[in-house]
Amino acid sequence: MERGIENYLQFLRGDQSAMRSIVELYWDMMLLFTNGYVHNLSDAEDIAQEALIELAVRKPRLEEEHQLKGYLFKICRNKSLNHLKKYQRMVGLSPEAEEFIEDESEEIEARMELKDSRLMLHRAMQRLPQNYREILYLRYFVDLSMRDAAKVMRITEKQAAAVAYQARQQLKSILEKEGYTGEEL
Amino acid sequence: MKNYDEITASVLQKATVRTARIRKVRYICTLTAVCTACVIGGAAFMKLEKPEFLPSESQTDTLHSASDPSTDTTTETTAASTETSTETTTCTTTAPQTTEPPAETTSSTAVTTAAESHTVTEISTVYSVSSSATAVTNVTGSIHVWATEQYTTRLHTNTTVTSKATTVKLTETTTAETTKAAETSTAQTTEASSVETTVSATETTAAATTAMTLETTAETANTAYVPETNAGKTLWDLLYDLYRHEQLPFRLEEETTETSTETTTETTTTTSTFPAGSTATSGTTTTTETIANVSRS
Repeated sequence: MERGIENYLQFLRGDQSAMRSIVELYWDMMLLFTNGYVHNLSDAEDIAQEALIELAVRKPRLEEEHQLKGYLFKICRNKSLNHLKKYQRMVGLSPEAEEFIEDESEEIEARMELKDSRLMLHRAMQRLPQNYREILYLRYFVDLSMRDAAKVMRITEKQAAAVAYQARQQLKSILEKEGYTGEEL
Repeated sequence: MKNYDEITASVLQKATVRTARIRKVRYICTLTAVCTACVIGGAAFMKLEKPEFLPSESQTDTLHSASDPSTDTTTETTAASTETSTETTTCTTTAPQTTEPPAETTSSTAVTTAAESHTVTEISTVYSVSSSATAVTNVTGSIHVWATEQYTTRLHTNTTVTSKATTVKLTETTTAETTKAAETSTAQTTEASSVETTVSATETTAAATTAMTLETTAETANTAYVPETNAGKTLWDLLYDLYRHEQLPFRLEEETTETSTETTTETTTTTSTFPAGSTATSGTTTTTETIANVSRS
């Protein structure tokens, strides 16, 4: 059994310290995922924190690792979309704020210990449309199956496969433009 | 940027607060729902129509007050069917035996012979009047029949009655005159036979019969019963049909001031002869039977 679900089961039994292990495992990925929606790190932290609070309050019955991941990222996506609907009017950030955000993104990336290839891939994905970026992130950064990714995105598995294919094609073109061959993807 | 410990502490604290708030809200919602259900159920229960219990006798007595007060004259006729409840009579009377002295042979076994008026004795048999009479309670008038004690009829009339005074009698009639006539006439009878009527004098209009009539006397002399055109007529017709049948041992005798009585008299002559040497004397016995007359208006 994987670590994430083990910690969660311990948390259900009353072990409060198991929550720290869950945060340690999924916090960064959740942060990057939500940041891809809201493009605001502070908001992304709030959204990620809300996802963990929901997990602690509702205490759903989860038995598998992929179920836990899917639950967390589903909450993150929904709250991110709600946040975007609420703040449709995007406030233009000052260059200093954008620079500050980028710095934090780099810090997150460093903390995630992304390899160069993955780091390039992650930065190239920022240029993709939202749904493309989403499916690719869930597939390659969160390591969800196509079925679980479809559940998070609320689409069918076939649609998720189609979106993933199109996302890869477009990402490939972007990476080729930057001079990346993409052999490790 | 926060570290993992701060994030974990923040998550656990907010989760505890939110869990308590959810429990509180659930408790309030459940309590409100239960109270609402109780209030609604109680209100519905109070609005339910309660079953009407059977009216008591006093309520049935007040049924008669529903008539029109302007032209309404209520006549209440009561008949005491048992003035002498202790005395019993039978509908069939037997002729006295020949060995008995004639003076004692009176077919009328009514005890109250001194009275001129009709004496009402206890009706030995119980007729099914009560059931049929009470079935007419839907009319404005009601009849309460007790087979043993008292018979009361209350009838409402819409018109003032001045012309007729009608009384319905259900009595076992024995009069003093008829008794005397019976004494004289029965002395000549030799045969023992069960006859329903006693010998009476032909000159008496009142028949010495054991006809049973339901006697209802009006309260006053002036008030008379006139059946109502609507509901009283139905009641009257019912009574009339019940009692006027000839096969019944009693007969409804309705007396009005304008009635005419019909009297039929049959005279039978029996001749008995005795063998020579007997102490009895031969003679002719004449028996006169007076069939009960029916008075109708």
